[in-house]
Amino acid sequence: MTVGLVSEPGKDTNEFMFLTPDDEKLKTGEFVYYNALVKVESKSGGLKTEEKKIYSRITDREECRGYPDEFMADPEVDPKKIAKKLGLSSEDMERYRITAKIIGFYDDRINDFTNPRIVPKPGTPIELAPDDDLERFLTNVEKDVASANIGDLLHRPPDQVNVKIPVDNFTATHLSILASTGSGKSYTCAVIAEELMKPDSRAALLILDPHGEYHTLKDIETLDEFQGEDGYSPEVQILKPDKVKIRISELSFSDLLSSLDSPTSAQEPILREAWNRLSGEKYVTPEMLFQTCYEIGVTTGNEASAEALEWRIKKAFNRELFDPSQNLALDDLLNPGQCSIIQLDTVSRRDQQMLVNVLFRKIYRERVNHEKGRKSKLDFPVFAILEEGHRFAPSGGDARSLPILRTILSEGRKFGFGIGVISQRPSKIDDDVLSQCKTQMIMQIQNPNDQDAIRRAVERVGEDLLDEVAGLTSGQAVVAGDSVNTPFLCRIRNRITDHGAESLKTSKRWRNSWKQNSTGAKKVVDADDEEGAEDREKFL
Amino acid sequence: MEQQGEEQKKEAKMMKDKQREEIGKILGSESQIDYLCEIYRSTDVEDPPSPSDHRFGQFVSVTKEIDDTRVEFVGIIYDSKIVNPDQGRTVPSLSRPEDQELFHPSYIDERKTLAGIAMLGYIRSSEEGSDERKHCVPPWTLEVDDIVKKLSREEMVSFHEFEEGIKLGYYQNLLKIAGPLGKDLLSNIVSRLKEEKPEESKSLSLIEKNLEFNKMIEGV
Repeated sequence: MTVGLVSEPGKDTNEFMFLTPDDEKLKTGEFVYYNALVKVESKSGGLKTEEKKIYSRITDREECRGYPDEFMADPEVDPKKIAKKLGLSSEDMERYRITAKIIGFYDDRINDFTNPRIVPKPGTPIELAPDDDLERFLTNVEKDVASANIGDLLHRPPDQVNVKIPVDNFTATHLSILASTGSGKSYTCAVIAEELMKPDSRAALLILDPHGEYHTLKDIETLDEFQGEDGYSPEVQILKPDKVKIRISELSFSDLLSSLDSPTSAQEPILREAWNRLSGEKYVTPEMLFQTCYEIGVTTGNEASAEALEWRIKKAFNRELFDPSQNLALDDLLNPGQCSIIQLDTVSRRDQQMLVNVLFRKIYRERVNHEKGRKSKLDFPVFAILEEGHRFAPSGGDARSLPILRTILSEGRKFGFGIGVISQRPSKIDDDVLSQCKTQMIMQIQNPNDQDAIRRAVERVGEDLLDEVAGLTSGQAVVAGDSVNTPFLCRIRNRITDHGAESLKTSKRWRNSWKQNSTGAKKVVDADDEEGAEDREKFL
Repeated sequence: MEQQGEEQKKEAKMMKDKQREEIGKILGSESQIDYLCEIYRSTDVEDPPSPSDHRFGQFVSVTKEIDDTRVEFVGIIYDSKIVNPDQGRTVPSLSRPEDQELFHPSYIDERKTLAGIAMLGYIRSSEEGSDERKHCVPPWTLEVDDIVKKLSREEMVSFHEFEEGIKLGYYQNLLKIAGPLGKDLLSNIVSRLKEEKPEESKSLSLIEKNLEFNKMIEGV
């Protein structure tokens, strides 16, 4: 369908302008194309000229002819009516000047767009990109390879252009979901989790859930959509905070130091020596650690310093998180076709960071061992979703989890350990961590600092789409990065499972609570049952 | 006899009314839609039009047969001019004004009231009986001495009535032809239509206010 005619080249070398009477279809982010003759390589190796569809994305739209302001002086009078009265045809009255950025033609050899750098001549007809083309070209999903159906293209009617992103891509090169509170980041994350647990993917999925809002994913186990014809049935394991343990012996020396309450410079060598001596032990109790420290203190003449470590060690390890023998066993936690949700809603932020540090280090080590051909408990790739990513990888912060996350995000691709970072405060996430997430799903973000952080960290999202971010509504996202051939606006699909992170119905709860309290206060009490009734007859 | 006398009276009255409707004749034109009309005086017709019959903003029509079809050109008086040959005379007249009429009848005729008429559109009678009304530049031209009649208020309203409501399709043309008086003229038309069509007053008021505002702001 021809929607306009090219009027002039744009300001940028890859831009052009076209005029259209269309007043609703052609919005920023919509895809159009024009035909141009392009020189391509022929099968024989030479060059041949072929007509190709050159796809472009609309980046700006402005009205170049419309109703004068005077027609809009009275909000109750339709300007079209005034136009008609004055003999202007209200049909075809408006003209829009659209700026479009050239993406290129789809090159089947490389399964991506190639920009031929041919700006269309004035008068060239501009067509609306067909749905089928967009479904095929926006992402690079091959047959027989798992893909995640995340929703549909925002500018087209619902379910008209389904968007599937290749699972192999975003689980290897990491994913970020960035959105302000209430714009649907947990919802989107759950959609991704659902897709990963479908028979096509059967992922080994770990979700760190600091707010306990992913429990509804348990329904995956029974819903038909997730059952495979070959008998596959996914398993969803929900670990409550009291079941989440770190075995003390799994801590590194630097973990130990950060767990203790600022040991002095005299205590540090004692602790280091004690930790070295206990390094072969599978189970270490706080008493064993202190006893070893004490023995070293006596031997080295630092008995007082060693004695002072006792309360520090007790204080550090008498927390629910640490245990001498129990831990999160990787073979229980991670298996293909299993989604493990670790609920951390009652765990302190410091302990959450420590847990991520210890657990992710273990997973990473096992994955490295496997890829290097060494003995490993994890002979399959792992994808972990980290809610509230800014807690675990804060910018300029000293979170225990930050170093291992930096390592995984920069090296994890080679070893089959992918991370999905979810956050509502991109400006508070470490820049390295954010920039290493090569697939981005950006939802509504209004804070200018957060928008700047995204601009800095995300390479392939155009300014035009980032400008749209503030105006997105719940459930709409800009999808960009390595998993897609060109960034686009997407409407996230409905969840198959129920959503477990609804906002509290505050006013309803207040009303209910008030009703209960007021009923209690006004309860009629019999005179003889009244407090102090037995003493009523006594003399004062 | 008595009855015959009454009929004669009636006929004479109708004749008078008809004459009253006729306000003048076309004298020339400036363009396809800008005509000059000479207003009848007492020397031209028995009952000349009163000043209110050719006032500023009076809708007028000229009826012509074009290709066997009756076409009524509709226009409006957008300006007027009084022509007086005595204006600027430096020598005294040898006769009294009342005697001049006797001695120089053709000279006296040169005293005229001329009206500028902007053609706004036409009404063409169709064979089916329904009239085709158009606000546009009429494709046909009037001729010298074509009779100009005044349009009644009802006819004026009817000229503006279309399926979708009241329309002033000649708006831009009239602004151009009437020049500095255009906004006053349009404002005058709109206010008359508003009185006749209260159901359209909201949108007509908006047009009127815009005209008033532009008229005021131009001089600032």
